[in-house]
Amino acid sequence: MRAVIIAPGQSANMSLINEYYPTSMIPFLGKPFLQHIVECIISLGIKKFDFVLSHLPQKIEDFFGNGERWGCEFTFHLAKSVDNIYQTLNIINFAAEEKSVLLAHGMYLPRIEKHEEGVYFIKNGDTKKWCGWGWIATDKLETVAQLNNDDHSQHTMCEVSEYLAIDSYANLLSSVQKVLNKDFDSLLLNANEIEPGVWLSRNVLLPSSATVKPPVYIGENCRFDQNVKINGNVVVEEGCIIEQKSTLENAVIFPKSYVGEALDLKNVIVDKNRLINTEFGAEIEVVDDFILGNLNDKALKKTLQNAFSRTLAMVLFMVFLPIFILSVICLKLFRRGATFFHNDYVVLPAKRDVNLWQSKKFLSFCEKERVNNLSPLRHFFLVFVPGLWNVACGKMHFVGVPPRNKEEIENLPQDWRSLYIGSKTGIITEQYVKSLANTHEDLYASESFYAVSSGFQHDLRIAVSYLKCVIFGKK
Amino acid sequence: MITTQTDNDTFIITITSDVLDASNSNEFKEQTAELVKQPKVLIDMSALKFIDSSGLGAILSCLRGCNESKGKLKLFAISKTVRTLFELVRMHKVFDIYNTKEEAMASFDG
Repeated sequence: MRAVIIAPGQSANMSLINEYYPTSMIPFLGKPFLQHIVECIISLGIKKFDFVLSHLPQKIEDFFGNGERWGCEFTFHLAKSVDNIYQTLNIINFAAEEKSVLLAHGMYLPRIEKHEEGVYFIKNGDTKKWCGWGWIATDKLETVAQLNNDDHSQHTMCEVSEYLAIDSYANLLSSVQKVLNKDFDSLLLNANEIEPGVWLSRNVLLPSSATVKPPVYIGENCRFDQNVKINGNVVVEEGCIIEQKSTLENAVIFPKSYVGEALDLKNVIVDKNRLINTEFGAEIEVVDDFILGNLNDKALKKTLQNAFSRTLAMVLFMVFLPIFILSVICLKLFRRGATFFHNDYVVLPAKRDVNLWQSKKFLSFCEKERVNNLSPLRHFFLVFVPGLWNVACGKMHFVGVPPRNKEEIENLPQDWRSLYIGSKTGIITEQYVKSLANTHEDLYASESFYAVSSGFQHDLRIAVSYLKCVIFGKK
Repeated sequence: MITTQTDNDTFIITITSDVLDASNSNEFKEQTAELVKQPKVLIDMSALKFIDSSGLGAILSCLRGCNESKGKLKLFAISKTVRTLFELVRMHKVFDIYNTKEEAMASFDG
C-alpha cells in the first residue's frame, strides 16, 4: 500500500509564517504537523510514501530524509507551482498491483481507521469541503484535481467529523485546542501528562509562583520566569523563554521564541518576533527584541563579526586615505560631471514588511549601474576605497549583494526579493568577481546563490578572488 | 562537458562534468546555445555534483534559449547537493524538475 501526500506549503492567508515554514511543517505539539500525518498513515500499515512539494521543499526533504528513521521509503516530487500541484500525480509510476493509494493533504488530518474507497469531506457550516484525503483508485487519480471544483461525480464521498486542520491561523489554534481537550486523541505526543490536561516535556523550568490552568502543553527546554500565568489552551513549543508577569491564554508559542515581561497574549500565535492575532487575522513583525524575540539569533557572533569588519575597514581606509584624496583630486580635475554619487539603498537584512525597511545613502565615485562594467583596478579606486568608509560606518559589508533602493527591491520577483532582503549588502559582489553578465538570469543566479551560501568562508573566498583580480588586473 | 541523444522526439542533453562553475559555465553556455532550440529538451544532471552561481546562470540561460524558441526544457536526476541548492534558491519554481528520465518524458505527454 502506498500513500501520496500533497504538501503545497503555502496557504492563502498565512503569508508571514509561510516565509519561514511550509504550512505542513508548522510546529504542532512538539512535532511538525506533517510528522503527525506520516505517523498516522504508518499506523495504517503503509510504508511507501510519495510527497508532492512546492513551497520550501528543502525543509521537508531535510527533515524526513529517505524515511529510514520511520522504517519507510520516502520519495519527493517537486511541483513548479502550488496551483498545479495535483498535475504531478500524473507522472508518478504506480506498479500494476497498486490498485489504489491513500491520497493525503499536508494541511489536514482526518481520523481514518480503515481502508474504505472514497474521498473524505469535512463540513464547514452548511458547505462540504474536500480535505485532500481519500482512498483513490490509481486509474482515477487524474480526476482528483477536479474535486476542488466541486466535481464529485466520479468518487464515493465519505464525511469525516473528527479532523485537524492548519490551513488558517484560526484553524491551527482550534486544532491545538481539540488535541489539548482530548477531542482528537490519536496523536503521539512527546511530553508526559503529569496531571490531567498538563503535558510537560523534559528540562522545563517552571517556578512555583507560576499559575498553570489546564489544558497546557510545554515543550522541552522552556524557561518561565516568576509570576507567569498560563490560563488554558496554551502550547509553548521547545526552547522558549517567557519573562515574568506575562499571561498566556489560548495561545501557541512556536519554538525558540522569547516573550518579554508583562505581556498579555490571548488568542495569538507567536513565532519569534512575529505576532499573529487569530481573531483579526493580523500578522505583525515586532521590531523590539525585548518584547518578542528570536532565541535562535547568534547575536554575539554577528556583533563580533560586524565589529571585526568595521575595524578592518577603518584601518584599510586610513591606509588608503592618500589614494582616496588623490582620487578625489583627479576626478575633480579630469572628470566631467559629478565626482561623488550618493545612492539610496535599503539596509539588509530587512523585515518582510516594506514599512519597516530602513533607507540610507552610500558614497561612491561611480554610478551604481556602471559598477559591474569597471575593470578591477578602476573598481578598486572608484568603488572599493570609498566603500571602505561605508563599511567602517556599519552601513555595508565587505562582501554581499549589490545595494538596491526600495523601488528596485519592490520590482524584484517575489522569490528573488525574499532571498535578497534576507541577505546583506556589500561593496564586493559575487556577480562582479565571477564576471557574470548583467542579464536577469545571471543577476538572479548570483544574488540568490550568495543569499543562501553567504558565511565567513564564502565571503573570504570572494574577497580573495577580488584581491587576485585587482592584483593581476583582470577578472 | 556534455553528450547528446534523441529519444523519440525528445532531445536529451547529459552533463558529463561533475562541476559546473565559473571555470566551465561559459563553455556549457556555448555548447548548449543551439541545442536547446528544440521543442522538447531534457537535461540529465545525474553526473553533476557541484554547481555555483555561474552554473546556475548557465542553466537559466538554457531555459531562456528554449523559451525563446517556444520549446520546453526540463531537468531530471539531480543529485542531492545540487537539488538542495536548486530548492534553496527556488529554482524549482522556475524549472520542471523530475526524479527520473521516465517521469520527465511522461510529463511531456501530460
